[in-house]
Amino acid sequence: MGTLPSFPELLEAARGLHALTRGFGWSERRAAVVAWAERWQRPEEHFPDHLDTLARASGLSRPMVVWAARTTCATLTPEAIDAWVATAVEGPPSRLDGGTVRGLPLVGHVWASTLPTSGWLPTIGSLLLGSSVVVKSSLRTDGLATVFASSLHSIERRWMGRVLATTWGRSVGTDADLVAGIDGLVVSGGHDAMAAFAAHVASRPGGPIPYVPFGPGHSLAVVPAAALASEDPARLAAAVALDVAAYDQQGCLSPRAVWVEGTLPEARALAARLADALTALAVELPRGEVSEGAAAAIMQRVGAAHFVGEVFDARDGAVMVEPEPTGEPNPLYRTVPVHLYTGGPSGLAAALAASGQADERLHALGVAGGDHVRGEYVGLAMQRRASRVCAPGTMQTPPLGWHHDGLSWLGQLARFVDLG
Amino acid sequence: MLERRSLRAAILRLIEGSGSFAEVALDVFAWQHATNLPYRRYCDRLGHSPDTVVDWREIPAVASDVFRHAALFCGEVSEATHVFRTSGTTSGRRGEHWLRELGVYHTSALRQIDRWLLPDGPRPALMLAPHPSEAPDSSLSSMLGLIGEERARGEVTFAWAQGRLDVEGALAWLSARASAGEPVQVLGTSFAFVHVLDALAERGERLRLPAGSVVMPTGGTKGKTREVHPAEIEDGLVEGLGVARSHVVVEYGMTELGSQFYDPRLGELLAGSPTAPPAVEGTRLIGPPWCRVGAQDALTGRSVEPGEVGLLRFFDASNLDSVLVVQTSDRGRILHASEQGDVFELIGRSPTAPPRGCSLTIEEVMADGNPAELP
Repeated sequence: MGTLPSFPELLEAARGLHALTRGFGWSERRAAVVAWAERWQRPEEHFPDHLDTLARASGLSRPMVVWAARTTCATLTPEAIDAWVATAVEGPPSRLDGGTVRGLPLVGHVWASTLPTSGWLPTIGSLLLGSSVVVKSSLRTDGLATVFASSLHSIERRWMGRVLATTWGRSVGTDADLVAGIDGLVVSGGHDAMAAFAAHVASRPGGPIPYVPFGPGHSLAVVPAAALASEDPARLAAAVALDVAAYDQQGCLSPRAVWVEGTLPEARALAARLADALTALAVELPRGEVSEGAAAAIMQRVGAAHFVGEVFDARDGAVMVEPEPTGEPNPLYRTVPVHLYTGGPSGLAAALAASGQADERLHALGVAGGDHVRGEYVGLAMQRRASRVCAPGTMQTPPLGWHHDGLSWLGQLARFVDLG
Repeated sequence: MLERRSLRAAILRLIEGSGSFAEVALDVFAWQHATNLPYRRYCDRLGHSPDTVVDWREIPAVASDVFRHAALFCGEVSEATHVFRTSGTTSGRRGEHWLRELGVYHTSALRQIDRWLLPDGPRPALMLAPHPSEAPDSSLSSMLGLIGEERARGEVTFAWAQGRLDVEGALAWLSARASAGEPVQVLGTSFAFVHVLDALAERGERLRLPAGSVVMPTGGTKGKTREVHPAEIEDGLVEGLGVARSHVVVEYGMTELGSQFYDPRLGELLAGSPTAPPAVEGTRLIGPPWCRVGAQDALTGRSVEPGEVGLLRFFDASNLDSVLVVQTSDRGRILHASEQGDVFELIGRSPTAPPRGCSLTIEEVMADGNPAELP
């Protein structure tokens, strides 16, 4: 019986496999990714055990995990993949077979997050470029990485040595070992996780490596006056409800608040419909596990909202009409305040600044009212460093090429050789 | 509906040991529903009124956070003579408990103090907190000031100077008293005790206060830079100040409540009988007969069975000028319900934190990890 390889040895082996591209070129990798994504469209059929693992690790309900997997993988169409990778390699993806551009040999993807699928697409991006990857998650969310790796292995055996999953150990040095053994790093997580890995990258033996940090943040739903006048109220409420309910409001694309450019009666009417829509949605996508601490926070937050505004209870959630923000943190889990603003994008910018939330990172604005209305809010998004302005109902399902954190990041994981 | 004067008299009778809590509670609710406008609006939205509420357990509760957002006062706030404020939060808002007068508050406080904190009588006092004149909006300072005036034989020292704990002054007082024979009382926040014990430890000293001395730590045990387990503080008090473990009497109070709650161990010791089973994991506390304690399921808001852990809810008849029922985020379980005072276990504050969404902290990702494994 031989001894098990060490962690650095496994990393070195994975890096070595990157060189073996013969017979596993761009088109084969793309085909394998598409096949993998198609299986995740029917996860109950192909990955029933994985669903349980993901639900357990994330705390989300099983139907929500199914929704997350389906919507995440639905973006991985051949056309979308081609367009995405083309931007990264600055030309047709087939360039990846020509020798002048390739993915970094071994890319580390750190998933310091509880969302079951948030790390999938960045990691798939590395695989499409031809990199090997090592995915690291916490023991608490260990299943997220192992399910991802296992499902890829089941599709394509050549990924067995190229897709590794690991968890945090007791030793702090493990992160340094990881960073020392990889050629690029993508981290999704909180500020302290990003800072810790930035320090590891900066002090890495052999010099720094490309580092893509995806930090925390939140998003907002916005209903301008034009949308109130033109959109079907029930449809609008259903769309916002989906954004609120998805991932139980845990993601950076989850709206923490709904801002309405209208009157108090209009905000009340929208809130009532939103509560109804959340109740209806809870049948299809029930809320997941709510810890006692989170439940206590919800109890206090909603309890206070009764006195500063009005509360519309929903199954698995609550909508709170608070004309002005109270400054209290949102306890999440489908608990959403509705605030008022006037004066279009500049008025909303002023209201956000006055709310004391000006320093919080904004990722997306889900703006109702059509493309022309959304266009008016791009300036606000840029000002607040938000990287998406989209329609309600689509906030949680960004396109494959979304500039997460405003970055064209996939190209940072490719290495070019210029001829001539 | 009874007028305030009649209600006040009924509450004072209850405090003195006569009358029915259930009747007084319903009368207080009727008064509060009629005169506390924000509370009335809230009750009306819930569909509750004195006409529909027939049991004190059905009186609508107000989340303690509401005190940070609404003036919960029966009448015009301009009629209030005192306000107690909570400590600050991340939102910057402080809870405000407005009072028309301090008479009921003081009477109820002294009753509990005599029963559980100083059951064998007054004694000289050291307060590890600001004097009421320095912190007029602190309910703790108000209570300590009351004890200083009424239960310290005229010998009270507030170890507080220039806006902070006077550790040197406290140690000097304690050292002087340790060599005298008369038992003393030392009252203050848990973290004030931590600072005093730290200073003693730095000096490599241990004191031995006179036998029968009482110490009363109160408040949270999580400071700005560290968290100390309550048992660790108790051990420190026993070892560092030389007080008997039976004489470490933890107090639990809230700005939002007129009543206080005490570890009954000293009172029980002197009375010769325990009032309830011991605590399982937290601190055992006893309330006064004019206050009932419940525990609610955090998710559903429904009452949990005695012995089960829930979020503590207080039905406090001494809260005459605000709201009778306050829902907290503090975890606990009811150990023994009694007309003489409910006994409950305080387990701690519910582990709420500013929501981070999906992000795990480094502490979380590293927690209980095994050596890295690769499939």
